Amino acid sequence: MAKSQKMRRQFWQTAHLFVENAVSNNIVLIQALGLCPIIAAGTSLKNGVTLTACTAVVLIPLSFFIASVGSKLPKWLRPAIYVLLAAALLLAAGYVLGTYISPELYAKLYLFIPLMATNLLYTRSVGLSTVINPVGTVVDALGSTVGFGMVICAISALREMAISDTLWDVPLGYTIALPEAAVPFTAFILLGFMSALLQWCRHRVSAYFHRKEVEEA
Amino acid sequence: MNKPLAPHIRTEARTGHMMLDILLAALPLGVFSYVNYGLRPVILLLISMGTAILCEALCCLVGHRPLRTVMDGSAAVTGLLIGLLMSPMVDYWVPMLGAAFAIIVVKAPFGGFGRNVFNPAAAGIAVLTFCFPRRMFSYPAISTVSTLPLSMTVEAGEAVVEQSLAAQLRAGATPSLSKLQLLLGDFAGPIGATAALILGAFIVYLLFRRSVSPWTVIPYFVTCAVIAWLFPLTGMGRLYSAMAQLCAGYVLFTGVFFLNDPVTTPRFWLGRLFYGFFTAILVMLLQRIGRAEAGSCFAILIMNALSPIIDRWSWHVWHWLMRLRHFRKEVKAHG
Amino acid sequence: MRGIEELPVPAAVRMPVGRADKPSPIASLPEEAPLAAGQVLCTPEGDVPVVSPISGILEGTVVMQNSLYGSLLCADIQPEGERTDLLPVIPEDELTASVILDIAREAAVYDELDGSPLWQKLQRWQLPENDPAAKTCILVADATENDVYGSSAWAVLMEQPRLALFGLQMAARALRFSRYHIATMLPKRRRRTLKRAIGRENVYTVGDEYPVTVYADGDTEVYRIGIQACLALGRALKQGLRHTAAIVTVAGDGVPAARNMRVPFGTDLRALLSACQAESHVLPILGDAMTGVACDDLQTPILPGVTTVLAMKPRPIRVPKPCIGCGRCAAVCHAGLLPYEIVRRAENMHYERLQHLSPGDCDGCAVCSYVCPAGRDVAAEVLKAGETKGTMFLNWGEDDNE
Repeated sequence: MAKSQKMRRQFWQTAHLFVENAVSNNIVLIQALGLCPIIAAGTSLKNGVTLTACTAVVLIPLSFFIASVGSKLPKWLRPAIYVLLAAALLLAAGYVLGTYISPELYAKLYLFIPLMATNLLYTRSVGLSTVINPVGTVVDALGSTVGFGMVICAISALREMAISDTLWDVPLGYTIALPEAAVPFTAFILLGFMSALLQWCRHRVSAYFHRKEVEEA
Repeated sequence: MNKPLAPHIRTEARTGHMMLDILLAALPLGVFSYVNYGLRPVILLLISMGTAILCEALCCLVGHRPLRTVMDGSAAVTGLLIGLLMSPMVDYWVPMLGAAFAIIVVKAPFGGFGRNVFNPAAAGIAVLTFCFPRRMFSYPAISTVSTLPLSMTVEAGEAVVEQSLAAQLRAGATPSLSKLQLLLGDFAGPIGATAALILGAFIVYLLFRRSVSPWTVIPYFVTCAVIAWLFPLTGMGRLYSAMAQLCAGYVLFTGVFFLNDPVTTPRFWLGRLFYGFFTAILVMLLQRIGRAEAGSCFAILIMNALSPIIDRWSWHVWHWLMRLRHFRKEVKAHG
Repeated sequence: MRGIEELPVPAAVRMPVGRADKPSPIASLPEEAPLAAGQVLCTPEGDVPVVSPISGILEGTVVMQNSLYGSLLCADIQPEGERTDLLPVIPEDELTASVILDIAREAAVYDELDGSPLWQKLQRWQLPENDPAAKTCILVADATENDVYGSSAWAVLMEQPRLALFGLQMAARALRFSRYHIATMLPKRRRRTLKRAIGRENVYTVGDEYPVTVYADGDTEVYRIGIQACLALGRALKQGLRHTAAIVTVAGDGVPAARNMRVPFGTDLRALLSACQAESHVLPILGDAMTGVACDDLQTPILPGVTTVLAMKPRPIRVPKPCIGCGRCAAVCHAGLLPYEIVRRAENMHYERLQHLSPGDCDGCAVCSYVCPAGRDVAAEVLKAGETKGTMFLNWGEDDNE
């Protein structure tokens, strides 16, 4: 009995990690990490999905690695090793993308994929990973990836629709043609409004629970 | 118990009156453009103001603010300024987009009137300049049209498109305008930014009404004039070149409207002086170089971002100087 | 400008004699004792005596709850007869500094600038004999009255200028100052009359500004007392009369005409306002229009320090609009502060950065509130910011979940 209760609690704790990074404490909108790829490269849905995939490929194995080995390394060395490993994985991912999947997409993103290695989105979990258990770290990384992916896909889809009137390169049958949506400031404005929306939702939800607590008490 | 606090007498001035003063500018400028182009620019102005007021009302509803705050006139002023900088032959949706952007993105998220960091109208114009440069900067020649059609889009054949004065100066061409034409605003340009005499009279009126501070306006115009005088354009006389540079683009308009938005300018007199001076330099610089044909909006936005710093630093400098003077006096008196 | 009118004898005068939580200091006086105007009721230790403002019969003591002064223990005096209690008059050449100080104390002379006893001020400022500072210090009788409504100081000056000047001279003698003058901003013609009456060198014309900051020329240290206090001191020294009444301007849009009234201390507002035919629903304001305090309690007694009572028709309180940054408050501030920035930082709870703007320099002249086109109470906010002195803690708590 006690064991199943403990397991249930662990499960909920892990689920909480996921939901927190993906939605309630969104890695981009609330923690403001990983902004550069969104602003610079999030101009079409294909780019967005590719960058999300890259993130998943890099972040999840890295988190597992650092959670299992990281505590044995000296503290000052961890970020450096982490960035190096991330860069190596990203290069590999870029190679796979350029050779086997879509050379023209790689031609667009060849600059951004290696640059992602220095992204705080990755290095952030260096500190975390030694605190929580390996499974938790991986779930945390998964949550981060989903949170990042949702935001970058939403923003890149919107921008693609404005820039070229297409979505996933499929014409949508209208004309705005606003190529200026590709400049960084549109992404900043969109991010700002999405962040405000999320904060508003958070506020409403927490107010709801607060009221419920007061009513129960 | 709600007792009135001291003082029990208050000045007659109201923020609403200051906004109304600015709105008054719409009358002569509207009449001027009506005479030149017919009803179309007037409709543009009204659409722009209406959109701004509607967006402000929307933001009030979303932000749980009383709808009464729309009546303070700031949204109408924002809409008016955007409308005044439109080309008379622009599509009707362009000023709507600018006004909506100004209110919803630049003004409301920062907390509304009194708290916005950037001048909403300048930001709206900057975005339009950036996104639709061709629409924004194709002006109908004033001498060839008497009235523009009122349809959504002015077709290519319906108006003769002329290069604006600013574009001519940038291209190094010598404009074929007389000095009188420059003063009267008898050349292609935005609805409200060409009539130099009307704008001049209006700034005098605002100064007289104390709706604007002379500490920003005078340094701005003096600096602009000095720069235009010192660095003449090739191929024309020094006086003519100075006049043409001042009348081109948004230089005058910036000095009359954007510079005097009290919310986004420094509030201490020394800070205002610096603000006017540096804005003038930036405006004249961006008028000659840079991507956009009229760079004043960008100059104003850059200076808006700096204005709190200018304000505070100038006060500290002034305070420090006063203390130094006091200290010297003490030393002189007591040895 | 109007002369000084006598207030019709009120039904009762309630003179505060002490605090309500202390035993009554006038218990030794018999019930229904006949009192003369100026008779000493009691003498608190280290303070000026409390004197009966009118001639009458002591009915006992009452405790009064007042919104401005808190709870007061008052002697309830019914007017009766016209007796006056006089001080001995000492010839002028025998008046030395210490004698003048004693008489200022005995005669219960109050300074109307702040309502404190004149004797205390004189004692604090008095210079030792043959002090070189006597040349650089100047005693100024403040008769500026730069408020739009007030005129009591001018009325005093026009009615008894010689006696007021005598009081000022004696106060200067008590302080051992060699320089003194009356500072005023009277209209030009009346200024000429005044100069003819008391001598050109004794009148100093201040600039037509609010608030007055320059009371004397050159590099001098200015010490200010009120003109009514000068007059009261002169009357005590020349005629032996104690200080029992204030000269109060009653003005505002709630009275038919502005008047200067001689009001015995302890008279309540109701008697004063009805004597001036004020309308029934006025909001009385103690003090001038710029810094006065709204006071809806008509039982409030007139005490030393009150020179103006405004009867204003109640007007809707304006909802303050957001600050648009016109900078007028900074332009008019005579202390050179940035009121808008102080208010902004206080609103945003940046208390630790508030002190760089030295809000403590504010003297509450309220010009910033006057000029504010958004109708904000700037001066009140700045004063509050100056009082906290940055000792408030930042509120790092959670957002309130409403």
